[in-house]
Amino acid sequence: MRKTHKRALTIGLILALGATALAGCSKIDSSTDPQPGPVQAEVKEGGEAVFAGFIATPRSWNPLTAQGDTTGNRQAQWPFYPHVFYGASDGSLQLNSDLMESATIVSVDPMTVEYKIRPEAVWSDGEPIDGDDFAFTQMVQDPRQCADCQAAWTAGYDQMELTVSADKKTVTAVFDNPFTMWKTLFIVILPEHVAATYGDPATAFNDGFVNNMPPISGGPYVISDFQANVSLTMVKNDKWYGSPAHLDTIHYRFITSPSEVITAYQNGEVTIVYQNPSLETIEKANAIEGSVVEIIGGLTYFNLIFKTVGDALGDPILRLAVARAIDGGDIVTRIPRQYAPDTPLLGSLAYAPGQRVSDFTGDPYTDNAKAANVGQGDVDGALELLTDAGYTVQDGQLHLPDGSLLRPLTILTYSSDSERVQMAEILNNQLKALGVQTVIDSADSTRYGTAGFAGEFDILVTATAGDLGVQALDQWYGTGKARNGSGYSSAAFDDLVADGNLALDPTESVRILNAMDVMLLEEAVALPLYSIGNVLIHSQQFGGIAPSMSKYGITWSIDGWGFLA
Amino acid sequence: MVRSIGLRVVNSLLVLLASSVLIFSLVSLAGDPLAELRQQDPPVSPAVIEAEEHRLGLDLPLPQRYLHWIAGVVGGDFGQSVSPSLDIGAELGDRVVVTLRLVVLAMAVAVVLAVGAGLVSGLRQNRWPDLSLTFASFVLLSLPSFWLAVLLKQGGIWINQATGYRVFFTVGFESVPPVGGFWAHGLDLAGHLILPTIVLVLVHLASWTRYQRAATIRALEADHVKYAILRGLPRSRVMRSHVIRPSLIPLITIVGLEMPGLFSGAIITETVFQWNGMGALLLDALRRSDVNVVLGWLLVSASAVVGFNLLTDILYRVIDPRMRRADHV
Repeated sequence: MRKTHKRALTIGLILALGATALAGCSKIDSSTDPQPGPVQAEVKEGGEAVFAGFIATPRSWNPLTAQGDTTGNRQAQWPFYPHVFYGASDGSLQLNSDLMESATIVSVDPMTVEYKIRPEAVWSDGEPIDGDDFAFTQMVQDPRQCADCQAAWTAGYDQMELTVSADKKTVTAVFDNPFTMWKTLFIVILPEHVAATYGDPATAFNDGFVNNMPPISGGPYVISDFQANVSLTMVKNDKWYGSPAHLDTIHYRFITSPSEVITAYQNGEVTIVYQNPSLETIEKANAIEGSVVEIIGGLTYFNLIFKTVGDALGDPILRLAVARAIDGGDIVTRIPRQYAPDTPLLGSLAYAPGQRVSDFTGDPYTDNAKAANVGQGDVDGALELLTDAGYTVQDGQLHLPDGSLLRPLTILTYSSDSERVQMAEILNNQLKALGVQTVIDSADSTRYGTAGFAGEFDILVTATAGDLGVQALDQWYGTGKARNGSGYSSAAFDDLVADGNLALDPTESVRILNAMDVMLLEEAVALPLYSIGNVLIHSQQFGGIAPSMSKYGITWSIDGWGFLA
Repeated sequence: MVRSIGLRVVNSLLVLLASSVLIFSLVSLAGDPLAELRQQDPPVSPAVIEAEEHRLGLDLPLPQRYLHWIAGVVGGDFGQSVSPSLDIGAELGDRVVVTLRLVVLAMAVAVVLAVGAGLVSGLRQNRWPDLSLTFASFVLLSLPSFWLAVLLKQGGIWINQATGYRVFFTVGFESVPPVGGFWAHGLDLAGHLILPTIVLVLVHLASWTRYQRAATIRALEADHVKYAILRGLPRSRVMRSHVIRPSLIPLITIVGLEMPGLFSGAIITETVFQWNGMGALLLDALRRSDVNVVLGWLLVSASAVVGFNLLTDILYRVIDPRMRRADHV
């Protein structure tokens, strides 16, 4: 019950924090007869559930490879692997006390982390989960040791030396440099003894774990059946060392269309749904009697990025005026609030409302956008800025200080995402108030990313994964970084990145990240809009399903799922 | 007959080869199969991207990639998919089976109903059965299949809720978890088949009925039919031998042309009912610019075209004695 108790405590704290916390985790309860929140409720043993949503037939069974590290795959395979930390409901990383006795920094120079694994932790075939598994997991994600391993994520692993104690239950990692995101490491641990059956490490990692369904489990459930494009079935792992799971059997049903998922739920063919919301699906779900519908804001958010170099928005005055005139609240009202009325306008590129940071007691979120007066729809203020700088509006069109007409600005958006397309259309309208004309470049998946990274835009409508801390902002805005299509370059910002990468103290880390955010907002490099939500739908009979703001969705709490007692 | 079939097969192979070159070029040039990987957050390292480019052969010139693919296909290897764990050959096999389960029954029902309705309509031209069937056909022709499918699903759910029994299913070809017991499993499969089958039947029934009606009317107006009636042949024999049999030929042609398309996936019906068959495979492969999967799909589709054309030729000869005699001349 260790994790369950801790989870309940965490959730209790969140609820106690009141409106601020709830702002990022808004709930729409469609039930005609409100029930106690599913998380606090007592659930009973037994039963089965059919879950549909993000999860599709895995393209790669290895969640640590670049191809396997997708939202659906992470969530699908969470119950089959051991994890040192898990992303809790509030987005913070919490120690998985089912597996670990402790994981702590025992020295800061050099940074040394000691992992103590519980003696009772074993794989479903009875083999112990131990330091050999840690060493293998580190090796395949460290290009120094395995250059051919196609890992999705190598940061941190590529600068650590591991030593394993004689009993193999204590692992010590010494880092070359401080690594602030050390809690994101070993989020999935691969079984070394299974790897050995696949061949050398690269073959095991790139082929063995990719092409073969996990034959064993280190989590609460083990796969019992898999039918490609149809379903995956899991049953309780009888060697599970943590708090007992409740449901006997859980099926993932692979349904690729969100609207068909809702219809299947309506017909009782699936019993738990977790997916991206839309007006259509939420309206349908709300109309289904006896259902609980929750919309949870995630750590990934929509935002705008402005081109900071070149002929148009390269002028910081014009860029700031544009950022000031944009009414983020109007965008939020017209899009997510149609199905999630409590969605807040995001005021930070660094943190989301309600988000918590491990070992930091305060609220890391600050509405820096409001303080910088960007994204607030201040058209008068924007026009004043422009007028002072010599810009003029003639016949409803903005002219540059030299008298020439401002060329139409290009808004690059993603054609496959209706919300991003809507955002571009709203921007197109809003900017007319400044006399700024825009053209919308709606790119498909094969062009959107490359055009964005290459800076083929004036305004980019994009989304950012906010769970990467300093690195999330560095990859988009750091000088010369591969994704920096805005062309932004600031020595002060880069210095903050360097400091942030070394800051092990959470308070200092939060301060630095907020300072980076303020810089980006005051210089009108980017503008946050709103968190991308997910919707959880299930019958009032279910409880113990805890959605997370992190990318691990609801399956991180799978051992807690069950029928209400 | 054998020579004509042989020539047709050779022609089809040449067409298939030309189509594969065209489709390979178009899909390869249309998009980047690694676009999703390049946009992944956190970013994927350049070394991984390079390894994937090498695995998919994207580091080779286009003609060389094509030659690799064609050489592989001859040896039974359909090449690498963008999804590393996907065995294209096995996937095609699984998907064809799913599509066939959906399409075969629907087409058989649609053909029987279309022949019946078309004959009634043609033989009772401008009387109430014809007028009713014509009205129904035009209503069906004007209904978008997507809308029809959604409507039927909601209707099925309503009936389920009203009766308290889940008779109709809205996704997939069987329940999850699967239902145990021979009869219960059979009923479950049937429950999943009903709605998509109705959609496919209705979508095709309308146009096929019109073809059959027109062919029946043409046959009735033929001189040899009038002569047979004047000679005093029994009406039933005239109808069976000189009207119904020859009137089937246009419908066989139409069905023969449409079947390969359905064999390759009833895309809308598969999507709405989440039957992950050939249609869904093609859509997904196109979205990902997964060239080898698209080409594998093309092979299956082209083989279906060849196969159904041959079948159509054979049926012509079974139904129309003139064609059998022509082969011997």
